[in-house]
Amino acid sequence: MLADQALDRLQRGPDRSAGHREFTSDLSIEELAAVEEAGFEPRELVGGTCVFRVGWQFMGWTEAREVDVLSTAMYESRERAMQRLVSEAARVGADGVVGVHLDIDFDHWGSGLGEFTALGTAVRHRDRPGSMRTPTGEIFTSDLSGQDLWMLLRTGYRPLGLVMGCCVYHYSAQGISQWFGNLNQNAELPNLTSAFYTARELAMDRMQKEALGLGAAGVVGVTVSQQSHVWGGHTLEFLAIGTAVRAMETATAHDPTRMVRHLDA
Amino acid sequence: MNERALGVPEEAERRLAELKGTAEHAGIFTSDLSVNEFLLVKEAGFDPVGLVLGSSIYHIGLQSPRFGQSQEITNLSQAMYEARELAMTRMEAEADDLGADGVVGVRLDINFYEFGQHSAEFIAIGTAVKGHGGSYRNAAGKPFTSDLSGQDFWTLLQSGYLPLGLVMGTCVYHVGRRSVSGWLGGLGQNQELPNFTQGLYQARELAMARMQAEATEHQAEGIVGVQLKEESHLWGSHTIEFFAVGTAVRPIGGSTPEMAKPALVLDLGG
Amino acid sequence: MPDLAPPWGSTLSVAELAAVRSEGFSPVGQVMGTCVHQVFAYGPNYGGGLGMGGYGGGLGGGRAYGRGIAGGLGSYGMGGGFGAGPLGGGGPLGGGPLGTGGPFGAGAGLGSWMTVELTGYSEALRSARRLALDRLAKEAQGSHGVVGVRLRVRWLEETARILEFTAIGTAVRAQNRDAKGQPFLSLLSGEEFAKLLRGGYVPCGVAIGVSALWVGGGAGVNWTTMGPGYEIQQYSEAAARARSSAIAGMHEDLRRLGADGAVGGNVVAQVTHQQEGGLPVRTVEFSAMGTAVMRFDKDGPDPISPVLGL
Repeated sequence: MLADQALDRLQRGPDRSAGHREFTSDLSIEELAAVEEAGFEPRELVGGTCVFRVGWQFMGWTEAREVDVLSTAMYESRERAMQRLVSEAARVGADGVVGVHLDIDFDHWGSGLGEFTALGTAVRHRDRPGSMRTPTGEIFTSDLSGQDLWMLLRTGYRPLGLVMGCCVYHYSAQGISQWFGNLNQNAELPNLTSAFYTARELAMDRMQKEALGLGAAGVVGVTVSQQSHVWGGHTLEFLAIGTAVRAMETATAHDPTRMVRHLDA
Repeated sequence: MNERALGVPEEAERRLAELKGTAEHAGIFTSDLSVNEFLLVKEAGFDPVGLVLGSSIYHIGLQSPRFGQSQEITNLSQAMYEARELAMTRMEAEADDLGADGVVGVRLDINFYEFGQHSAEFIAIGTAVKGHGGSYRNAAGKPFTSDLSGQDFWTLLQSGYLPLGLVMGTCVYHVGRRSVSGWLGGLGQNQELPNFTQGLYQARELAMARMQAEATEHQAEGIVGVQLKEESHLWGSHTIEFFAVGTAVRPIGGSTPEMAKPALVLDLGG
Repeated sequence: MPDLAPPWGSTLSVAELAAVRSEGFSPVGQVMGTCVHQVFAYGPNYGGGLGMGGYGGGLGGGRAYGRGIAGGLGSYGMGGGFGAGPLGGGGPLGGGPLGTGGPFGAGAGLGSWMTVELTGYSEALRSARRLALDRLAKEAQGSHGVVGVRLRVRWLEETARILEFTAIGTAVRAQNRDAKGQPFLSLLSGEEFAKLLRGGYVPCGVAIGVSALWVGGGAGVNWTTMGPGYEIQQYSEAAARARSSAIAGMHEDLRRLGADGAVGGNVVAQVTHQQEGGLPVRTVEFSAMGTAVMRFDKDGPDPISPVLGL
């Protein structure tokens, strides 16, 4: 019985002969099983932090346009957090990092300061360490869960890296009223429409360019969102983020998906 | 489709061109499908091609309802419909640009920023896909659209059906104050409020009927995944939008094939 | 010591009970351990200020990173572990002006910075947790282990800097087998416990690491200036160092337990800030906690096959 085998092992106590290093992870039990089934072993809970000063002054524009310095600052800060996460993963000889959460906080450090933190579990291929790094030898990163990683590999693709594009846009309050024109009409607001539409497309395009730079076949699990953060309602960051993937050279054949009907639900 | 004339910005054309591939590099796909959906869409015989997006910032003109009346506010119904249509049309134009057969997982969102209560951003976003062999575009020769998830898309195809297009109908209804004060007269009594009931019933029916009319235009056999949403947005509780949305479908190849029977399981695990 | 005779109380849900039973264990009773501890975070004498204690939140609140599992906000549980060792050696950094700023902005001449490890403070936070867990384990003597452990930290009396640490969980035992030695502890729910066993691992304890750093400086920074953004490298480094140390603490526990690794790790951080002698001072505290596990089934887990439920 499983309970007996488990308790026997506990009673045997620490196995000091095994030279391997103990791992740490933020993997759930299901993820641990999936990651191991996919041929990996967890190595370390890794992270990267970037605390930055957010500074920008509204210059009294009467139109909507990108705030280049903020776009750059947000992008740079995230990039640094991710690079540091990758450095920590490199130190433990990882192939990649799964389950990356990239969080932003503006309260923690006090007003005027923002913090990006990336956290995930570095994993290594069990039988062929290093074989699952990217074609250029980089450590892969992804926000995919352990189960997603297993499923992705099964589909014949491997993760390359988390890719993102952002675009911070500001629209002026004064500008809006002059666009309204006849207030009793239904009408599209063409200037604002074009501005917001363009801002999102820019974010998506920048993400796409990152993926192209990695030699990806595509990007999965993309989320496109917008947030004001601490800048007040007239400034929005549009963010597109996803995992770049690449087709594997040798994909293993597998059975097609089966449909089941649960009797217990 | 002439995208620029439809309001798709130049930046979008650049992005789509990059997706298709240039002399310098092969094409790339982007998708908002989860990994599970990705697998199922591929198993269904389709490849994701790219994220497609349409948006419109729309000002909704005021039509002061006569407070006594419970009625549809046709101005608002038209505006809500028009704004979503603009967003959808642009998204379809992007899918057409990519040479896609259709769009799955379409998400329709309304965002209220600090525009004031009469303007909002309407967005349609989804993943454009292309099928292996065969023609999957709808009767109008345009890419199909659907809000079905990857899982539902796969299951729909297994059932022998193809999506034709996202169909929608909307009705913005105002509940008149006279109706409200009519309640006050009957305070303390358990009773139905027939005018109120009638009005809301009618509003729902109108939304559903308009959705069905769109399906007829598609020459659909039926509609699946219908959702009826009721939202006051920013108009206050006396004004409600009834929004019906679903996916119009047609049988693949004209006849319904035998469908594999699902296995029965009893899931003992957590 | 509670009476672990039936009827047993437990924190288990019905699903958890079924999961635990399906692997051959039965609940014995609810167990608890408590520790009340006074904590002071003394910074160095800085900027002419008194350098008195009272800094630090004691992780009675705090921000959970990543998955923020199970009450990561300081009120329950924590976790995570990293352990590649603190970045660039320990010890306080000397004063003196450090020009920095990132390539994307200016920010030079930030005045004298100083970073100090608050070892006494972080040790207190760690050993208080350990004590609460040890007392919980003691209550569970006679059973094989404890599942569903939750660790709560809160101020009993904030002005007097008194924290209360409380651990609760459900003791379980396997049939037809005596319990020898220490009961295992785990932060896992009943269902997670069952899945862990199926996966060929057994929980053997809770691994904890806590680290706190005091960071003073930034005299030359004009905090109200609006301008292009730039990184405050001293803060980024302090956060990295504290996290790294917390995870190193977890590794110590894993080695002591002879574990193969830790799962379900959780990382929680808290930053408190004051002015001292007109200069900004911050205390950065990190806590990492996870369930230590040992491998026991060489054959590995049951194979996975995906299905689509209708």
